[in-house]
Amino acid sequence: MKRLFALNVMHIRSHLQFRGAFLLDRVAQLISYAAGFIVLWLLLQRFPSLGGWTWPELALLLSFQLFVYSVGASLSLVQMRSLDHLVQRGGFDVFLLSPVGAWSHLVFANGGPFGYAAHILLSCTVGAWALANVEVQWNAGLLLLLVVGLLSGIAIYTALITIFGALTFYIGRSRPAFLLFASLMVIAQYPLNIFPLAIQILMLVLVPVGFASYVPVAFLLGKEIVIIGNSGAILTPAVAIGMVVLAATVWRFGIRRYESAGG
Amino acid sequence: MPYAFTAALAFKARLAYRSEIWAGVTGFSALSLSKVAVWAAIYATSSQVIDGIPLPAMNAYALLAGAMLAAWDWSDFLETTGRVLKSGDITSYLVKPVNYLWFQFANELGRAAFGHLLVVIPSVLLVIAFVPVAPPASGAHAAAALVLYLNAFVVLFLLAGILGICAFWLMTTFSLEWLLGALLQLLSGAMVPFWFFPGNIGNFVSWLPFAFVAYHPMSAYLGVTSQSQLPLVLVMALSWSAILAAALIVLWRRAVHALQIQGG
Repeated sequence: MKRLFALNVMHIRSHLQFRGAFLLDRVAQLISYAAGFIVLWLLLQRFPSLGGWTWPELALLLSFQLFVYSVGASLSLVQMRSLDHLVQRGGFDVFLLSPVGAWSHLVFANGGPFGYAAHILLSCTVGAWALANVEVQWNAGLLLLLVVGLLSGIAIYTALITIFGALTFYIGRSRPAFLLFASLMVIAQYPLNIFPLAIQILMLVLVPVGFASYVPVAFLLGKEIVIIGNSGAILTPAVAIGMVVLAATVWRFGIRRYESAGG
Repeated sequence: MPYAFTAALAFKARLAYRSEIWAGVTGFSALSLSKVAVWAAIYATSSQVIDGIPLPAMNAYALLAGAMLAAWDWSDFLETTGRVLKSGDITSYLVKPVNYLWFQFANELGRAAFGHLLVVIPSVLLVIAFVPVAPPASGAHAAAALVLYLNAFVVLFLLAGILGICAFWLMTTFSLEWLLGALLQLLSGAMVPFWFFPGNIGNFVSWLPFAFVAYHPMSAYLGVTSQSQLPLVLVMALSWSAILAAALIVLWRRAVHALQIQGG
């Protein structure tokens, strides 16, 4: 753990060498995500609800999704997207020699929540406003669900991005998978009840991104959850654990297929 | 001639990555269907026609308004321009008997053609098999929409180029990419048409250059822009292209001049 921390501190220091650019990057990210929120806010100024979800409820879904994605992506996205280049050039060799393990070294030497400060700040701010404006009868069970939902969402995104990145070991490129991931991210911003059955199955069964934000938020708000029903919300941590096990398996088998670029 | 060859080469280069074709078609189709579903949900709680726009027309908007942004990834051009200027690799272009900006325009045109022919058109055909989509309002509206759509590529290219050159002084392309992405998300009308914006906000933003990337081509297509207004919109579109082109050329000359001073 100490080594991983040291790796991440080195990564942060390297970025802080250009403080002005670093700050500008975070401000630009903040504006970019805020623009996405504003577009939906403008729409909900014109229409009372979207699929029965009011603006504060949608804001909660958006901020929940942005938060779990940000933390999950900080542990995986930039790192896994760099795998294409590393594997094609043989640069992955150095990670195989690491005493902390290839995945951990790749993740902590090249990312972390520091680069996602803007996402986290925006999601926490909007999320706090939304929680204060939605009607939820809070009790210990719901609070526990909120925490479990957040942790599960982070695990699902980290696992999913790791699986997409590890495709490089199998088919040589992961870029197509990440193109699809970008589309899934957009769909995940909306309540799944507005979509046709095929997209609901895609989001809850084939690529269970819906469990990362829609299922816990819909349960919290007392909305009817599509396909799995409200009792299905209890599956969320199980889906997260399943995704992590799957990601670890795909990653391990993938590494065995890695042949470097030399020789 | 070298520019036509460059465009053809860029098209062929993208053909090498065939897996990106199915990923692009699947992604764009899923995204279009999800946008269609969003509007269907809104229309379900309102009426069959909102502000004079029936649901099939809104489906057309949902499907086609984001087509240019899906077919062409402008961020690659912005990043490349910023990088070659910052690193000094631009010198390898300056010694060639081609103009860098025209060279990149041809290159990106080839890539955009690939995106349209092999991602957007198959996706559109796939989606219209399942969803009712309104045709253009008239022949004149279709012709104007086509001209505005082609101009949308030019406007987007110029905006990306201007920010790419700004990276020479700001030392970052990352934030400029995100910034342009935010402006396009909010002000291009690709997601929500301006006639649904509250108050006079929609009217104001419709005259900014970003609106000519998605909103105006689709407004012309659907007939929201009346036939008598089409010439004014076309003049505005071409004027923005001329203004942005002039800004790009001025910035480009300044950046290259500064680069020569650094070279010593």
